[in-house]
Amino acid sequence: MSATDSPAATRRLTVRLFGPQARLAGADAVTITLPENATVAEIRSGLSEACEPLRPSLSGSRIAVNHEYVSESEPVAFDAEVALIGLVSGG
Amino acid sequence: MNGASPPISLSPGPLAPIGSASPSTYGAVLTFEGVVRPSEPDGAASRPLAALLYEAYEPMTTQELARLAKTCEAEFEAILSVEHSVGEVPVGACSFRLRVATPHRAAALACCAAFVDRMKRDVPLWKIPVWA
Repeated sequence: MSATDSPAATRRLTVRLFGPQARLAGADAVTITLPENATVAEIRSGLSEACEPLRPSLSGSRIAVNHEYVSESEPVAFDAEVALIGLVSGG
Repeated sequence: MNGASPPISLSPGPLAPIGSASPSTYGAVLTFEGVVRPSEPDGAASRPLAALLYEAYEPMTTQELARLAKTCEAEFEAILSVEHSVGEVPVGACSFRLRVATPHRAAALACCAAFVDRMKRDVPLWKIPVWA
């Protein structure tokens, strides 16, 4: 098989969960499989596939990478800390 | 206003009462306290609470509170200090305290409203009901 025929490299990424979303998922993290150089939008899709209870709240949630909010098109580094930030309710 | 970061504090459990000393010579000093209500919505109904359990995502929570406080200080020519609980806070206890000092009252009231609205939109803090 040539290099061009080889399947795209993938990696496993753990996304941290908090608050009501952690209760919905029954876990404080979800691990998903993504292509190398996946974007934030692909992380969101991966979460939707991997964890059905999170689906209704995903569109209103943001993704933080290394403790900063990032845009949907942002590629995410292999060793980044990724968190789903949804349904915030402090105060 | 000055270039220093506003004081931000995350503390376990209920926040202790404060004295009445003014933090500055500004003309308007406003202290807003968020207190745990005795009930919360649970679906369409209201259900009695024992407490709220606050969760933070550190260091992002403190970082976002500081960013928001600095933005509000610049926007409203204000001085802010922020305290927020993490962990369990019983009904009737204080879980959030914002102190705003400005030259005049209109700016203090507007700053307080803006800070709380933006905190509830942007700062990673969650509350989980502990039902009675």
